Amino acid sequence: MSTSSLARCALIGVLFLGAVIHSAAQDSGPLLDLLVRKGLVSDQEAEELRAELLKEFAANSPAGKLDLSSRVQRITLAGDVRVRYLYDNEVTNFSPANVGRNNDRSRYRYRVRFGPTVLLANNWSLGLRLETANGATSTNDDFGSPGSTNFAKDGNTANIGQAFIQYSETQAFSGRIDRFDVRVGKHPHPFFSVGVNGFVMDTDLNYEGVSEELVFLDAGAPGWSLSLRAGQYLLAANARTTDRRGGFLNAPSVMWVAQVEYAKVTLFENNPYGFRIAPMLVAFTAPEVVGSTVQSDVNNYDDLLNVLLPFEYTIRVNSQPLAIYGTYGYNFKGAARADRFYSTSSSSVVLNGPSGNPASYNQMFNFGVRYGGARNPGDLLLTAEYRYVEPGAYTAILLDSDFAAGRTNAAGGIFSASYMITDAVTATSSYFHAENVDPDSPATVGFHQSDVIQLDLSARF
Amino acid sequence: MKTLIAFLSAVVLGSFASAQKLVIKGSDTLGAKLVPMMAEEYKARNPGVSFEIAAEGSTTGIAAITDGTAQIGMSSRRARPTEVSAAQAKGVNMKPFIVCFDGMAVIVNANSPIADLTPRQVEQIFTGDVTDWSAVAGPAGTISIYTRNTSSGTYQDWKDLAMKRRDYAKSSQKMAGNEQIAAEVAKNPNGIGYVGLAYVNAPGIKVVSISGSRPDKESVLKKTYPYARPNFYYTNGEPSGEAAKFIEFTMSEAGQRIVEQVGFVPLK
Repeated sequence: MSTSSLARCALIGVLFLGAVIHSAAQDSGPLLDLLVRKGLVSDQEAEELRAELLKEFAANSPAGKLDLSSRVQRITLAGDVRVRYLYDNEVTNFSPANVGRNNDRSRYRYRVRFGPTVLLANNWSLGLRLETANGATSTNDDFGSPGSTNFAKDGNTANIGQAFIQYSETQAFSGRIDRFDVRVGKHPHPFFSVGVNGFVMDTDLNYEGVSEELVFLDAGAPGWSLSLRAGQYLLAANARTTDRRGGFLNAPSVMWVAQVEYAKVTLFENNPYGFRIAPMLVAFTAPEVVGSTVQSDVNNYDDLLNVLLPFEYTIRVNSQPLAIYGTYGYNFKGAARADRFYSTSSSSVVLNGPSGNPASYNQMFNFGVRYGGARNPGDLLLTAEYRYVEPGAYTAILLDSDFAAGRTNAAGGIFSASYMITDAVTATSSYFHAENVDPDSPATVGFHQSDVIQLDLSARF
Repeated sequence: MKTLIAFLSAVVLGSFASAQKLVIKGSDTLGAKLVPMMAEEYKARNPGVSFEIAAEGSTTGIAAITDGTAQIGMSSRRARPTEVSAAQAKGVNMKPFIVCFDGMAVIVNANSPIADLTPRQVEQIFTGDVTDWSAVAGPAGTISIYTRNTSSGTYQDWKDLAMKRRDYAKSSQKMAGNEQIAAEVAKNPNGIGYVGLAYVNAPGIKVVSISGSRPDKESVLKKTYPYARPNFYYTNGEPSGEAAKFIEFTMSEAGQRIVEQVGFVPLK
């Protein structure tokens, strides 16, 4: 047997052993090139081997049988499954009719999120994601919630959670912008917010509209980055009615967000360390008249002009990240917002009243401490956070829905512990406790008291 | 009677043989000069054989084998996995033959002071990471990039060989072939492009060495030049008849002389 025949046999043996034909077909090029350079096989023999391996790859490997559009550069399939035990008890604001009323229940829940991100040519990509449940701030569905029969599937739904097109370029505009990113459609937001579940921007939300981000590295000083972000999101398209009055344009209700972040962050063992501060503006605009209907404040489409100041500082303590974080927020239209909330019932706004009313209705903040990581197997992450949201300070559309069901007029604490069993499987327990800020508020504005316990097991890929 | 049948058979077969037409489709790198010259020489030696040669890009050559519309597919790149599996699905067994090698030379304007670039600098230039000659030790001036068009196998090969499979700079200008790239670079003092070895002697351009290595027969055959590649014929399984003879001729001493005449690197 000649040297080249021996080399061929050896190569085929190496490539096929271990039943990794698909990876061998992809990776054998450099090995074949090396054998050619060493003179062990000829160019033609190497080429025939390549062709044989490709045919084996196409015929025998699962990946080889997958026929993807030539427009696809790469597909990332990602998703997660979470099962949850949930206890919640919301005591409505006290009034003679509500004294002693509890909403005391246990729920057994799950969520599924799954979808592809498809990278196309020239910096374009698209994202799709299916999610269980149809609520804006929750992706949970319930076990033991029978549809037509026990264990039936008609109580479970899959909904379009995300559908968006993205353009993302590094070194854009001849290198003047280090990263340029635009997303349009129903998509995850690019903004920096701190706190459990995002606090001021509930992490379950998918925003509908356009987001833009520009990042400048080494801005002002080495290692510091400047990020400019903006978003324009549709809250209600306000379809035309036949009773349009006074020539008002049929404008949509829109949420506007702008943020400037200045940060210095470094990664160590997959965990970020450093400082981030990101002033932010969130505003709603809505037509005062839509058709014949005055916009109802029930829908929260007006009276929101918030300045928010989130920050986070992370250092290493005993080889683990220790972060302190917080947000201060002020709604310049908070008084009007509170007035509208309260005027929907017979209650009226009382400041500094004898029963413990707040001094204002337009301020909010959170402050928290987080210790540990959530990036590597064996990581334990502990979080303690305090939140305070006055009745007119913000909107239930955006607030974390696990704390006081996302309502304003709530203050209290959150304790959470999360353990990474593997890099894909995490166990988490969380406790949320909230009480109202204004004890004289109407029933729909916050709760007298709210308690939530969550026990989660999550797996993601 | 037997004599008559034998005579008629001979006439039919003879007329069939005299009408032998070889259909070859694919790469414009091979189909522009090399294969037509090879076909002329082959016809001179084998009267009665005719050729239909269509040089519209490597992709069309591989597709022609899959579709059965050509006996030989010319390609300046390897068949992709998706092309091989698509062929297999139709019962076509894509068989490659290396017919010659080519060095893809980086060219600049003859008056440019740039004489040598590193592979990293070449990647940065063609991807647009670097947009001014001053970033690669040249005189200030915006770099003009000339590339092949997207249906060309060379277009893809260059991404694989020189650009770590990244996208070309948006500002890059796509040309129909080697000659056009050489002509544009010759006109533009800030131009850069890549051409096959057959085109490096075009007027107004000069070849840039890559970390000291120049593209020539020796560096290509020894695999020391980074941007060298084989060129292929593809057939459906083991070729037979006139196609087999033509491939054999291409690889023969006479065929490889033509390879060298045209400017490609022969197999040995």
